[in-house]
Amino acid sequence: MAELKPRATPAFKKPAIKRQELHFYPGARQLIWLVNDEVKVKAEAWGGESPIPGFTYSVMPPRQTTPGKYVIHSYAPYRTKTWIWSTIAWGTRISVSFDKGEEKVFYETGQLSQPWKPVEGITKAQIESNHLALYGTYKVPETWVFNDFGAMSVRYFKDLNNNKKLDKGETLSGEMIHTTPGDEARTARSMEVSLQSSHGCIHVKPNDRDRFYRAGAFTKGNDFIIHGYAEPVPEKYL
Amino acid sequence: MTAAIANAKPGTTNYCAVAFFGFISLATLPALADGVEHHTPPFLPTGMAMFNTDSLLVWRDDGRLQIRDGKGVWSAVVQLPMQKIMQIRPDASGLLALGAPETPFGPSLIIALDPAGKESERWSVAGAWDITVSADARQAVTLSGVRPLLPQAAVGAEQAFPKWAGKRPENPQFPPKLLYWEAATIYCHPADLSMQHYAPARCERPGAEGWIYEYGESMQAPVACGPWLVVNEGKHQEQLTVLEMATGKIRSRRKFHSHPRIACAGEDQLAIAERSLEQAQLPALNSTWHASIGKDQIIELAALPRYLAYRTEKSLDVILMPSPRRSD
Repeated sequence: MAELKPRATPAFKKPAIKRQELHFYPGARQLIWLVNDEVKVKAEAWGGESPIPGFTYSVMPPRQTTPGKYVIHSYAPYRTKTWIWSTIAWGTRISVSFDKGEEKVFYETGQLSQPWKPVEGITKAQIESNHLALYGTYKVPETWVFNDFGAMSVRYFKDLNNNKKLDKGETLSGEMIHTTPGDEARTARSMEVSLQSSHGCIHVKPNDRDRFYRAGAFTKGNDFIIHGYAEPVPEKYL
Repeated sequence: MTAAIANAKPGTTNYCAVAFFGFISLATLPALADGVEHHTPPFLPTGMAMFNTDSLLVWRDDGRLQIRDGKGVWSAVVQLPMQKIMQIRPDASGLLALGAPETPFGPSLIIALDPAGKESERWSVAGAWDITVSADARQAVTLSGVRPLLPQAAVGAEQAFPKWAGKRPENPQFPPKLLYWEAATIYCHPADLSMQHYAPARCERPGAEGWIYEYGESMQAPVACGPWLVVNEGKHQEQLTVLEMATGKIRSRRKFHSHPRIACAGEDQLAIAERSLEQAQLPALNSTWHASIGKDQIIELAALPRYLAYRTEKSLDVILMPSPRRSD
């Protein structure tokens, strides 16, 4: 009689838990995307600096980026009425037309009731001058490329009840991850980008922003940890 | 009619509407009641300025311009050899026109025209942002200084801007407008409203007797008039402030309903246009002459010795209104 050999119990396969975190080390100026504690994308990123003593700041004095644990909320073009060049989202179609005795720049609203509106507070010549500064040609471009926050902004919030959702009582941080119009222009011209300190936001290079996005770092619900300025990047991530 | 133009679909300039409006205006010509003169340029003007003592220059940024001489005769349209005009500045022997670079960050063409609109000289200058004219020099303004425009197409070495006074974390990213008073130069930067480089508008006279005047979020170029400097201030540029160029001291302020357009009408006279025309004594800004024009907002103004030339938001005409003689 053949001896019955006990069958080997199949090895228990642990489900692959994906631990994904985005880390910012403002002192070391590094943004790091970790998946299961492995560096997937790493790039230079600059946070805010303290105001320089003795200097005059007209509107918004710079400040250090606020450390803490956050949750990614969105990745989209940003608009704000606070900054006149940022009232229109990056990439919005613009066009020149006659209005009230002069040529004005209009932008596409996406609204049926008023598909085009004039750009308020900025003249055609000022737009042409800004295009000259950024792209070297004095003209009105086809799309809006002057938004202070660049093409896309990553917004995040402090998740007080840890449900990964922006609930009542939780607010989006005023600090965000973004590029600048100057860096977008240099990238479009295939020139090297040298980052500058922000007023508190986190500045990245446009190509790096795209790399992080493609790797999934800016997906809604991801954890985002902003470390202290004195905190070094752990050796294992270097 | 105006509503039809205003509601036209953006994309290109509505030349049909412009032409039709022009036809209507021509049909009403000559509207010379009380010496008021109407002229419909064959293009939508981008700017106008007095030059050659009593002539009026009207131009469009596509390179076209037209000149009205002191006898009131309008020239044929002159097409400058540039696709895009960035700036035009009258000077003692005619005017200077700065063209936009035709390639990114490429050189700009600057041409000098005589009073008849004929080209007399030309220069090619890399990095030119503006042109400036003083009693004895023509200069191209770059991001970092000025370059003299010399005879035979020669361009002098750059003379760097002075070190800006005040404690600011960075230098302005756009060059200043240069204004002259006796031996001094006043440098005026419009406000930079970008988040990264935000800075209020400011005028500065460098040096030992120097001064700085900051005036908020104005992106309007100030006007020099004799020893006075006039700036638009306020949220809607609705306030005029007169400074003494020698000292930077404020000599008067006056608020208007909306953004007034201004032009120097002599050493102590400022022409002011809102929904009416006015001449005011400098530096007090006391009104010395006033004329109603209807309800239209004036969007552009130039002062000639015997006329104020203006355009309104509801017409394509250049209108010349007789004004008090400068010597009156």
